[in-house]
Amino acid sequence: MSAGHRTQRRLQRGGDYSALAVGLGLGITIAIQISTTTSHDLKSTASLITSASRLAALSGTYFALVGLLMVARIPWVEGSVGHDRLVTWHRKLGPWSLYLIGLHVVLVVLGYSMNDKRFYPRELWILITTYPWMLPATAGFVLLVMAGVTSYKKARAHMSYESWWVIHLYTYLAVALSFMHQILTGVMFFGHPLNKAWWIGLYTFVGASMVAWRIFLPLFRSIRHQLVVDRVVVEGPGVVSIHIKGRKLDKIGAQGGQFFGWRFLTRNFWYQSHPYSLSAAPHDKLMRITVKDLGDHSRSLANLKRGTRVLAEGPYGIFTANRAVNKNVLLVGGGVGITPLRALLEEVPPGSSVDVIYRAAKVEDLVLKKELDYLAEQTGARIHYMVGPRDQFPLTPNHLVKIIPNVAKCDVFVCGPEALVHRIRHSVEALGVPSSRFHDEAFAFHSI
Amino acid sequence: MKRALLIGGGTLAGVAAVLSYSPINFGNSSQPPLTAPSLGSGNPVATTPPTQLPGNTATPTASKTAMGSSYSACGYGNVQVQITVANGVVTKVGAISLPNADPRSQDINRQAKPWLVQQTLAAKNKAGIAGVGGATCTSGAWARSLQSALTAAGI
Repeated sequence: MSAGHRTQRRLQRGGDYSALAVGLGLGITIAIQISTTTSHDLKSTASLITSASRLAALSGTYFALVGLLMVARIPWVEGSVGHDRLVTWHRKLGPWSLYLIGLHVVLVVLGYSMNDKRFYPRELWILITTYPWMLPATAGFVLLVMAGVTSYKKARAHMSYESWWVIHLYTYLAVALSFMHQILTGVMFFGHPLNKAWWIGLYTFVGASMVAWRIFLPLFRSIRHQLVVDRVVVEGPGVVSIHIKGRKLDKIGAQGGQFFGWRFLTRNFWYQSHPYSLSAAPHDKLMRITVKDLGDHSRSLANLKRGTRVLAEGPYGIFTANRAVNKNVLLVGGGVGITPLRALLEEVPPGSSVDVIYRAAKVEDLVLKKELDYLAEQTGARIHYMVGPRDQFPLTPNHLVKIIPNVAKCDVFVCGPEALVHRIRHSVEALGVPSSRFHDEAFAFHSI
Repeated sequence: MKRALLIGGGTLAGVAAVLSYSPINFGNSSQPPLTAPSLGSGNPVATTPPTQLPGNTATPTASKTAMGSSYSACGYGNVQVQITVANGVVTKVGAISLPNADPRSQDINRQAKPWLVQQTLAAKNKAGIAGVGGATCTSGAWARSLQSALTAAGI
């Protein structure tokens, strides 16, 4: 069995175990509600609505906690599920937790107002002002709605990555703020120490994972490896490479195709972490990223000074050469999306037959071209530059098979804009490439 | 599809595991017996008479009652408790007032009162009771009123 097969199997199992664990936790969470439901909770419409609102609250909060866990960067989970899948699941789960928590808010006020025969807004006001920890919980809900609205596709398209990220950060606060009202007023927790222990345990586990893997591990790495900016090189219009120097970088165990969350400790940007792929296979003393001007942050990277300290979270991603099952490899890069493929190209097993498709709108946008040509010479890889408007290079099944006759036997790696990734996926699927041999790294996946 | 089955199966297993440990209790509607079982063996009142000192013909200390102060339950109404103390132990607790102005308060307190009584008697002369879920306001006011009653009784 090839290394590629083993990697596939490990990913498969990792996904299965994670699914089972998430299911078990959901079961326990639902059960603490069921086991504390009494006949009183089912005797009137009002109390039924209130019970439903509690179930929505529990499951919605559970999904929010699982969503946080998915982006807690737990190394075992990252390695066995893969960062892009985690982020995809996080995105799919996020809206559901918001809907369920929203349902809880609507229903609990409705149930109470029916029971008390009070006007809805008045009941809402009484709940917020007189129940313990309800004001923080309300603030938390507002923050959650803000994060939800700004993550909505259409809204996000109008925002800079930085603003979205800062607002999204407040979801931690939202989840934390809602905790006390759950423990103090939740009927399933009062007088049920085991239920309380489950819930507190869940919150503690998520919080501790966040602190350990997202704060302490990068700090530890930074001290151990002494990462600093060594050089900033202009590669093309709006594209710069940043060389990062350090000690014992081989100990980090990064591979070409992976990325880190980078935090440059300058006065303006120390608090922001941004994901960029390595653009060359890492060496003992040097790592390199290549960044296109996409937001305020990437623009300012061009002005980084030599010696600026760097914190790195990672390595993340399973977009690596060891996932290739076959000896035939096709790498497809769009624009600056070529950078992880450039790093990956160095690590393709010797004896592989490699094709590279490099899409760009203009010749100036072909970054790292010299390096690619050099590597092609060394490894025998064939590079197909496709520069110009999209209709000139349709990348349909017919078009692909004309350029790369054995494409059906290839392991396909794609990195670039979402549209390109989708197009290639459809084409190679039509040509008979199974999804286990299609590996993608859409830029959008990087952004949490 | 397989993942969906794993999540679904895991959910069912989780529900089953918890429910087998703490089963659904629809029947008694969370009403504990008013004569709480915890008053059984450890209760000095029950054990005092047989261990009376020989020759002491005086009756045990007469029980006395003490009234707690009235505390507001988050504005829904007031809670005031009265305790009966015999031989330095709370043997009885009752509510002089509970919030009852609106239907939900009546509802809540009808459910919560037996629990609060049981917790008070089990707490052995302390006001630090756990309280009752869904009746946080009443529970807090009850605990404060109980504390003042205990102080008044000299405990």
